Amino acid sequence: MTTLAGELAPPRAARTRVPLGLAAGAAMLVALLGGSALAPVLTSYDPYAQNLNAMLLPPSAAHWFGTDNYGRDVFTRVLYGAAIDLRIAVLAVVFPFVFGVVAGAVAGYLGGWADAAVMRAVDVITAVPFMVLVIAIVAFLGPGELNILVAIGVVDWIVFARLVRGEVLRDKNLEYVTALRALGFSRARIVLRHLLPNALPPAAVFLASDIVLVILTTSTLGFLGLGVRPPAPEWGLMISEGRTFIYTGWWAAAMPGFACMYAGIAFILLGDGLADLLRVRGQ
Amino acid sequence: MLRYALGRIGQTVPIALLVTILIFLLIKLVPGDPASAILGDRATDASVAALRHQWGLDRPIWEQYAVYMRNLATGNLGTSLRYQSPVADMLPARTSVTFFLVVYSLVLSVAIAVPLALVAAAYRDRWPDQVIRASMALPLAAPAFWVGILLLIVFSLKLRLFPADGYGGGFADHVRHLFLPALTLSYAFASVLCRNLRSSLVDVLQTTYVDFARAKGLRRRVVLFRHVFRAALLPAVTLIGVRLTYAIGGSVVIETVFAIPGLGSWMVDSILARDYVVVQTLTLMFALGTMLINLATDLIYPLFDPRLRMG
Amino acid sequence: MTEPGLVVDGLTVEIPTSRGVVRAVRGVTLRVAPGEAMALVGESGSGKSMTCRAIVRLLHPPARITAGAVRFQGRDLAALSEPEIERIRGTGIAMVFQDPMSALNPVLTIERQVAEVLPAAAGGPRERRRQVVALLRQVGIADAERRLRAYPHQLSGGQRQRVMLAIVLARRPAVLLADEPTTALDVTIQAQILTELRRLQAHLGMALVLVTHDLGVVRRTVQRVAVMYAGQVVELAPTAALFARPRHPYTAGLINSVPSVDRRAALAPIPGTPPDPVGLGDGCAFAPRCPIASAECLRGEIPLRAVADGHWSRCLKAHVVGGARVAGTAAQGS
Repeated sequence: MTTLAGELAPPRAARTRVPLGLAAGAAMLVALLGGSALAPVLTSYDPYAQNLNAMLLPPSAAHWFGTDNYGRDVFTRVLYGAAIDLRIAVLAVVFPFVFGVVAGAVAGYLGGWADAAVMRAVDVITAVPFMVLVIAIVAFLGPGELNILVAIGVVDWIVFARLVRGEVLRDKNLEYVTALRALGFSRARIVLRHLLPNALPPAAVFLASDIVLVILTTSTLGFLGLGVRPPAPEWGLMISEGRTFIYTGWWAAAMPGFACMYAGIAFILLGDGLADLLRVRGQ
Repeated sequence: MLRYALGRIGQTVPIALLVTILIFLLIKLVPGDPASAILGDRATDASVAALRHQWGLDRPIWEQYAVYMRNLATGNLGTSLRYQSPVADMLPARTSVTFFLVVYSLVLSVAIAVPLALVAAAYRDRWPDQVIRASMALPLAAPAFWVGILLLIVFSLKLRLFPADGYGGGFADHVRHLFLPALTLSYAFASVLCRNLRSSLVDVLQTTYVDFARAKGLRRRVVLFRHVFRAALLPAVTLIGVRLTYAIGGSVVIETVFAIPGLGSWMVDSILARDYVVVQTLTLMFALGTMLINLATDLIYPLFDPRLRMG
Repeated sequence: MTEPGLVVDGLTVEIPTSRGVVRAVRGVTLRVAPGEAMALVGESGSGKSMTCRAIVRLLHPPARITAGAVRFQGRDLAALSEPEIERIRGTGIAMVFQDPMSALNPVLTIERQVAEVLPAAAGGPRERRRQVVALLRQVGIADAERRLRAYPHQLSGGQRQRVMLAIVLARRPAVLLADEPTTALDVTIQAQILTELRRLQAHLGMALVLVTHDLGVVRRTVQRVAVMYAGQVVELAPTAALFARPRHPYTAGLINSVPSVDRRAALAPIPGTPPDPVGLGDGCAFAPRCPIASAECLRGEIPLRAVADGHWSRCLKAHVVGGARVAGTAAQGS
């Protein structure tokens, strides 16, 4: 009798395809960044030059998005504005991300007074609504790009701290961590080499949606007159300026909003795509 | 349960104190001398000195804080330089307007999110679900104030369906005036609520206890309402608490767009007018409101989920 | 003429997945006579739970019945509409699940969950409560009144399972599908629950289909056993006959992998792993792990054939299977 007991081949590993959302979001973003960087090449208008003969012209071949009440080409201003809003968005999240992740990891792993201190700080900052606190800080510091970065930096780190703390708290009780300790690894090494890398993917996904929040916050501040100062082509500021002329030239206020939406969707897709990618890898 | 409640309230007190310290310190951020900044054009050496003395700015910082706290405790919330009247007097009227707006937006959010979540969960992964999820997610990227402006253009100015601004007089009038702003405020929360509820429903629909409920022979409607909803709505309740605070933050901008005389527009006006004392006080009011809502949510949640009740 | 009992005829359940179609249940045929206790035995993934869910139409989409019939009380359950099958569930065929903690709704009281299966009582809510207490007592829950207002997480595992049985009892079904009712419980409680099940059976004249992977449970509780592997019934026999002389290598392998006090021979686990559920084709699914398989086992559809009185096997070499020797051969090489 022949034995046919053979080893079955292990199931084929699922191919890690790049999720559609990730690719779409990245493409949108690249287009926006490219457009913004190449703005001087793509458009022949000066975003600051006023032309009172061309006030509030509707969208046309010459002015794709029309002109605003100073005769400035809206499309040009939107593109240059992208540089401002995106730059602020990216810069503003650096500190919250880094500080928040570190604070969360330390709080989660060490527990005790470190955890209490971090969580108290989180509680205090969460007690005030996000927008109110940011506005208040900017109100007292004064308008301007730097002050926006400070305000957001002070308030925004808590979301990352909470997230990472939760991940670390959950993971530090897993068996493998106990095993690592038993093997003699130092606490710092365990946090840096094992717990943090596991907490980073969800934090990265959250980063994408946080950037959207910052873009909206920046434009809100601009709209309220508390953010970037005129005549900078910041999107929120443009909407605010265009608002008065809603009847005669809706495009001046509407277009920057669409740009905002476009950037936001790009990052949302990026974030969701990233989340899908990480889930596929068995996170 | 009572002990838990007392415990939670007890937890809130030290946080509230820390918050007052934070807000007290915020005004120190103002570059230069706050007194002359506040008085602005009206500043004279004498008036600046008087203000500094009144606020104790020539005394050590902890004494200033003590003065500040004492003022709060006695109901002295400062005086608006712009309106030349005590903040405390203007507070109730403004607060009720914002309260109306926020609650209104909450009601609209629930009215929008719940039916959509039900449909999305029922047709999971099929086209109604995809459409609903996409249309709920995309508007999140748009700035609220911009959406408000668009709604204003379309429904108020072009179609003349709703008033463009203001608050109106009488309940029905309030409802009409605040519809567009409340709608603007609501969509962000509706989106989050819808996604959360859908996810919750989908989870619950997969559970063994729903299978068992069906295996018992219960009618579909009974299973849905008594078993599925109860369990799926629970996580949404905490969400309401959390998101309510975001709505409060959003009201600041929306009130400005729609010229509604609430706390938010007051705050923006005060900032632009450099009425720092008012800004500080309003920030504190917002903070207290948020803490109360969080506390209320924490206390209410165990009423719905028996697993959280003590004992 | 209506067939008595429950007849599953060529039932096939398919689940489309991103990797392909999973045929979780492949042409399963079973008969359960009224009042009979039968076991459905197999490893995880053999399709035994799926079969039960398919019978009462509790499959989760995208799983669906693609072929076969389920005949009960003169109707084909697989073809009924949802409202129609709702009327059969509970009173005709009932099902209890493996983990009683997850099978009871965590936010409803015990009383609520039992009472909702009772028809409106003439005496109002108080009468209802009395009936609930009586039911709980009947399944052996002590101190039933105090348990009424409790929530599932406040009861022990054994008590929760008894609550499920009380709910079943209330409806007096003709057939009970018990999907691994004791797997999540401690060994001592297991025995109690099984006894409870037998009592219910006797009391109601109810047929019982006991799904389990635990052969020990099988031996003590049921009259007939169906062994499932990779979505098919591979052996069907009265309990005693199955254990005395199994007629399928898989069954023999199972019996030999179970430790028992009076065995002298070494434990011989079945080598290899169950097949990938995607892409199951013709031929014996057990062949790759089978010590006596040969070329003919890999081809063609192998039917379930009678090899003795009331004893069926899907093995082409059923006549050589039997006793402890077969599984031992594989380990020593042939």
